[in-house]
Amino acid sequence: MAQFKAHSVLPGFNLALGFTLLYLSLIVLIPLSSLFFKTATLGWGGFWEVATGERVLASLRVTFVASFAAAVLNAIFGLVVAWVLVRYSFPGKRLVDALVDLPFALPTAVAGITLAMLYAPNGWIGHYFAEHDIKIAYTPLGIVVALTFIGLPFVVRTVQPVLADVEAEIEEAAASLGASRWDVFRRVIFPSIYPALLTGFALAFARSIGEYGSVIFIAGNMPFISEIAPLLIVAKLEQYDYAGATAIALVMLIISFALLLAINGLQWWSNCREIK
Amino acid sequence: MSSSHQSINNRKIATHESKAVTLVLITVALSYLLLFLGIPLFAVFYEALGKGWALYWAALQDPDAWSAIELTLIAAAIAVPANLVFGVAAAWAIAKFEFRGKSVLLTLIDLPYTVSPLVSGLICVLLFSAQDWFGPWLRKHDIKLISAVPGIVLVTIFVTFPFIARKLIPLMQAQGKEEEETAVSLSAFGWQTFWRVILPNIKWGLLVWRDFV
Repeated sequence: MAQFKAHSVLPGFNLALGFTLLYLSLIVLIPLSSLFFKTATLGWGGFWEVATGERVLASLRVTFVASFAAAVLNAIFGLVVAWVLVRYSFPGKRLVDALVDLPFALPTAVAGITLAMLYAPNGWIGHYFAEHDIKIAYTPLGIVVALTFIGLPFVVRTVQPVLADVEAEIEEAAASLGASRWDVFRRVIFPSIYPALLTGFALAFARSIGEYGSVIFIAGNMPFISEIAPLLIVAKLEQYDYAGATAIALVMLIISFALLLAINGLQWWSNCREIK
Repeated sequence: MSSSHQSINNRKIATHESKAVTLVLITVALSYLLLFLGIPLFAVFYEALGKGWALYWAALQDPDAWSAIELTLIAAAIAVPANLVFGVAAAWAIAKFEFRGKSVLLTLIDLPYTVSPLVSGLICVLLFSAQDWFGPWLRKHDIKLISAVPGIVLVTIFVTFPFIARKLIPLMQAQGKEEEETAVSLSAFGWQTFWRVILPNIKWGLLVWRDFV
């Protein structure tokens, strides 16, 4: 059997991992397992009926596709924002830096109402798009807008410290060996910020999947088109159908776990390849 | 003379972007932030203060509002240190050691993000309500969790669970483990390594993250 842990001279592994697992079990695993047990009261047949209902499947598709699109958008532009904030100086930079965190501080319902107002066909931003016959609010596009707002700080805030930590000497060394600026970025800077970028992407994606408060105001909530899965959970709760609600929550949990595991596995795999 | 001048020019090009690229990047970043952040935030304040300061002031003097703010602060004051200790431990184990099942552990840490706050509340009710699970035990010892402060603290801890750990892991990974290994090879004790080497390195990461959790 292969060793559980590679040898290392650093101390504290057992303590750190043990504490991590204990805390994780208490705060996350035991509470989440209650979802399993509540859903189990439905039995397999009942669970399958809820999980494969047409409306549930459509809402799951809307949730995951919109979350993915928003996370991709945030990964690309978040990287640019982090780069600009770390590398350049311009007037008002500190203000911009402080503003990035605000989506965390703002109650999501406030964000949703405001975004719906702005991106509605007669809103401040929406009417520019309405001229070109693009409707944003009350369509799936609106969901992407809301989720982009919610996930915006993640990529910026995970990439920023790592980018600031990239040592100028390495870049200079690459440059003195004749690399162009683009080469330096592609071969030197990007590989060192790539894990952080992937982390930010995963977090923005994860946060978007569970988002409810901001989306319902801008989505229009039309069944099969712009209805998100958390909304269906609320609908079930309002009918006191707790087992049905946990069934949908469980499906979301399993899909999210699989997708996040794939993203985290990608990171691990690229790390391994780098070492080889 | 001319060749050395040229090489200096080349180095500048390779360690810095040209003016045009810089400008384009700043413009892209700022317009993205403006579209998704600046204008919405402006609109929020515009709406909040639009009806005049008087109304805003009245809302702030409502005792209900104050007790709500107080409760939020209490929940944060308990949740942040708890998650801070967890975050440092988890980041240390994950960033500095290689072991099996690491990506599964990472994914489990991320999982609370994907759970709607709604569902977290539902889970709390499931766990602690009268008939289920811990309910009977809690009632026997006369502890109230649902619709009381401890329940709110628990949900806050759950919802903010991944923040600090996930912030620290990429930072600690990028920093590598040479410094810690040096400290150990100079026969520093475990805690000495922690206080003198690790904490100073991650201090900024911790501070940045704390203020909005």
